[in-house]
Amino acid sequence: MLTAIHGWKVKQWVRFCSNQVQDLLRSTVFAVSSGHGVSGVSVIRVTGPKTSQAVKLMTKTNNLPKPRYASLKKIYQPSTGDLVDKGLILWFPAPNSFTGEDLAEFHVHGGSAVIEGILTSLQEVDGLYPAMAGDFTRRAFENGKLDLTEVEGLGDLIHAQTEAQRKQAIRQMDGHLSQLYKKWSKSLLKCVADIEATIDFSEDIIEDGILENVQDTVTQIAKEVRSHLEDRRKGEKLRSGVNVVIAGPPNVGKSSLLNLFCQRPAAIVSPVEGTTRDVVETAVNIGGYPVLFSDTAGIRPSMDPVEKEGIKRAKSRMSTADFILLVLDLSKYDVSNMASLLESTLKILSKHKDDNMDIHHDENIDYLIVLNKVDLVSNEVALRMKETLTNKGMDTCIISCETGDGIENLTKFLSEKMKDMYDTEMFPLIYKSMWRPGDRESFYNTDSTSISSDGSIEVIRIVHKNGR
Amino acid sequence: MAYEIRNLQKLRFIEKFRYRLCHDLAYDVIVVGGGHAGTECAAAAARNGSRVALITHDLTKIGRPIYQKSKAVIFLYYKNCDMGEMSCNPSFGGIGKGHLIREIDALDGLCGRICDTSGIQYKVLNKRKGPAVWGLRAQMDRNLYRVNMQKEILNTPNLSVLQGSVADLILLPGMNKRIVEGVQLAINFYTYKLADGNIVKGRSVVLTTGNTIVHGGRINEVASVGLAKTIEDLKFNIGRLKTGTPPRLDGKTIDYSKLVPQYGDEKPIPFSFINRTVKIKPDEQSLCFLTLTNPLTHSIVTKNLHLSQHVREEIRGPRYCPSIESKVIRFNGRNHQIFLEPEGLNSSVIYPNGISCTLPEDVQISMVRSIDGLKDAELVQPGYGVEYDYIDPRQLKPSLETRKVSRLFLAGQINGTTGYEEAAAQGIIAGINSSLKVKGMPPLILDRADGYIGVLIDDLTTRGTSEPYRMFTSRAEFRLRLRPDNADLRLTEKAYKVGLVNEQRFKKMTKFKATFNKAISMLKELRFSESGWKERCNLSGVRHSGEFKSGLEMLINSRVNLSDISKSFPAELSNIMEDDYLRSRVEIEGNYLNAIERQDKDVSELRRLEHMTLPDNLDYTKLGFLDEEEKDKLSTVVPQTLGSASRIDGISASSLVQLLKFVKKYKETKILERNL
Repeated sequence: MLTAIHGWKVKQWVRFCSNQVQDLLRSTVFAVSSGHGVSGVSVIRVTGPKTSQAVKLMTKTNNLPKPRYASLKKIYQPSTGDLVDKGLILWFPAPNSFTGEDLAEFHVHGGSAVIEGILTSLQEVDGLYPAMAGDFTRRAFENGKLDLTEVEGLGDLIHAQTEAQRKQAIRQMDGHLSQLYKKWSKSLLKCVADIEATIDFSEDIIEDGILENVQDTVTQIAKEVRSHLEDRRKGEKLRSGVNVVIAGPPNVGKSSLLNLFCQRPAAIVSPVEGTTRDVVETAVNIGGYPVLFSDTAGIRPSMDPVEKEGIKRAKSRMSTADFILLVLDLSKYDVSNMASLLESTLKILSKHKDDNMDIHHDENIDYLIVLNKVDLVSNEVALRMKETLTNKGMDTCIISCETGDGIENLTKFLSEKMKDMYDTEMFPLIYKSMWRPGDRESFYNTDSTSISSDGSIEVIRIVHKNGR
Repeated sequence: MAYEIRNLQKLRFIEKFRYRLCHDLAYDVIVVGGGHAGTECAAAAARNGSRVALITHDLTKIGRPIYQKSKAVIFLYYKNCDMGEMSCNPSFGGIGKGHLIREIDALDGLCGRICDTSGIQYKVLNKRKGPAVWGLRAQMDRNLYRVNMQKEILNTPNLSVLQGSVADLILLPGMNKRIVEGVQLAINFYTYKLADGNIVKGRSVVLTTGNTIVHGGRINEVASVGLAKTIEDLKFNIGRLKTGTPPRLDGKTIDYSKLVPQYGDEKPIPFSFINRTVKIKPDEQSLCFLTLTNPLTHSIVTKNLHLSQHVREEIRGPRYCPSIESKVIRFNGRNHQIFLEPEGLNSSVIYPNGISCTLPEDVQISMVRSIDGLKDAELVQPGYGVEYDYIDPRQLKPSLETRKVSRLFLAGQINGTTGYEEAAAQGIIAGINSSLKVKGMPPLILDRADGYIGVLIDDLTTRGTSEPYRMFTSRAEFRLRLRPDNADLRLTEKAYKVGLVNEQRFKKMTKFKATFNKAISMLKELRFSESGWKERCNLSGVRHSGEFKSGLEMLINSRVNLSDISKSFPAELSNIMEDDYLRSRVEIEGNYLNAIERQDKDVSELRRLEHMTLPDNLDYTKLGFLDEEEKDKLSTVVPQTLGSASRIDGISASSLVQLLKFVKKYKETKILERNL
């Protein structure tokens, strides 16, 4: 009896050890298998020894789903415990899986936010890494599984294609962002070259201060990257649409504009100043992108407690907005009082800044000045006003809610803007998943460590390699 | 039989015994050339128990004066790299190169030990940077090094030295002449006549000398033609490289008072793992001096550029050891360092490191005299350039055996490298593998995660080279683990298993390893919170934190060292603190703990790919999924593993996956065919 228990324990121990060894030898990787972009359902695959652990952590249970059955589960982010999505999990224990290793498939809703959420969650699981091109197929081959997939082109190039798509996404991206990344990449490459030169040619290099320069550059880039990545961690925007706030003085046609966008009388419109009190929200599809319009109360000094509350809400909504449409009544200004027009514009913008709690949004806030009621003034005046504002560096659009003039232009402008915003969000998502969690951490810490040791350069090397 | 030198009486007996056994007098391994590759190679094969013949030009030159004004003698001296001769700079090691010497020593090679007995100034470069990139370097006494090396070689059991130069390779007839079975020696002044038309038979041959295939005008002209023609007939791709050497100065004519002296280390670090000290006493070390070129020097060079042989020709020169002409052209307006290095304890010859050139002698004199401290300097010998053919190393397997001719190995400058250490590293690998080949055993292949030797050979055999290849730390992606301090732990056991390292050294290494591991595990068991550590050991550079860390993990922080920790744990650490050598090694290991853990995954990934072998005889041109460029590249390199295929520039990920698939099927068909 005793020996039996002992034998069992030994077996357990050996199994434990061999598992440990296997863990060391095999990494666990994950990737979106259904391609990037918005789709109905997205499939994210995880394979490797840590797969079961990842599934347990993300479903908050200790039981694995029934093998090879589709199980509907709630999927949580391990670090925060937040619900990411409800989706199907397919669990294929080794060796009966595509790769021959433990494999799990997460079938989730195909929105970018959900995908990002799942990827972030997976990345949080210890020992999981984003897959490189061809990783899954290679594993399948190594484990003698590839022959099962006799159908040409089933698994073979999927990941290579994903890689190509990633590159294409980078290429197509908004010029200024890609330039930023290129700039970082270039300076990091130079840092690596500088450090390696001081290591390999220390006899020949007389100039001092190279390492100090590198230290400064890396600290600077680390800072930039950090704020860049963390600022844009707003899954909400992607989930619920870009938050566009329509703001401005009372009775300039904000509610009319909202109604025009959603093609229905969503907000009450009247010639009385201060009709809108509460925030009226409507989701609208602009150029294929979900946009959440919020019509707000007109901002003016008011004694009415209800209107005051409305104005407060308007301001708080502006402070969390991704984009502001500042509506002004063109008929109330002419060329002579252009100065006052500008002043009031700036006042409204600066006012919301004063109340702003979130400093991050302060600098990035993007707005468009919408000059309404063009039907009440002459074209000439309108154009001159627009020109003046444009010269001041403000994007301006002239419309008439009454006749519908210029609405097409406005929609076009907005959809361009949304495209920009979505792309800038999409890219960090792809970009972020290329980072290994460890690297990110060490990269963040580089400013506190000294570059002069040869260790730090490895970090820069890795970061540069992965970020490229 | 040829003129053989054997020093040990008892060996003569063994040799005789073997002589009788081998009815055809064949050697197991024939090594052609007694340079740094050749000597390491022959010694390695001999250690492995093979009967080795080392063929070198002229043995009798031991003790002959090195420099004579007569050009003919100098010419002969330099062109015929004598056994163990340092043909260029009188120093060993450097950044990346020091790593190689340590690794060669871990494989029981010769050069590390000989550097420890022949050095006259030891200096570790990069000392201010991390220990992973320290460059062990030493000035050698040129004569002493050669004499010590020759002593070592002549006293190596199983190793005979034959004098002569090789005229041709003997290839086994039939089989498209794809197996080498010996060499034919040239009949000339130095060679004693042999029976059978001067044929030396051997079961494998290692070519280590580049000069044998240099065309025209050389002392061994007759010899070259046959070998060069054979190599040409075998359709080896051949390229041409050039290198140069600076003029040598008479030290008595140098005014040192104006120059900056360069001292050696107070405590020289030996190259070999079996030594704790070097032979020379620290305060008896020689001095080097530093001087700089100036605008006058540059203008003399610029005016005479049209006379420079190097500038006129379009052959690739060494980028990292450029001639003064190329420095002046490339870095206009900057002064260049010149290190004045003594060539020996009893020699007044000075090697001015940094002004190699191919200018006419009179221009060289005026150039040298324009430099600070060298106003009245006399040239002992002018600088000159050498051109040599090299064989594209992509035609080699990682064992350094040629793919075209079985049992023919190449090592050293002939593979397009520059530097003694690079040559020696290839030599030792070619040596052991030629011996293992004869024994029918699998070759010893070091991968990129094993050592710089692995990096060197992988770079050469998968990427080739278009300029003289030299080692750098930046070539090694795993350099934080490939440190000079741990080469023995990385390599000695591996080498012992194939019979390259003797019992004694292996035991010494295992004994040290046990002590070392004990110290490491002891440090791992000391666990406290960071704040705990801070208070206990009074550490200023440590933050307050509740995170538990082991003693080893504390060493990751560069501001913590073992003596800090030992203050609070004198009993536990007494073993480590008593032994300086052990202490420094434990400390370094601790420093890199973090980085190494991070690299482990990459290493296992690399090894996994390295284990997937590709068939040698795969016809890449018939694989439709490759594009033309990939076909071309893969056919030239013929990668042995999927890992090396992935490192060839321009092979796409999708092609690699397809290749995997194809090979898998291919292998299965082969097995099927065999079974039928």
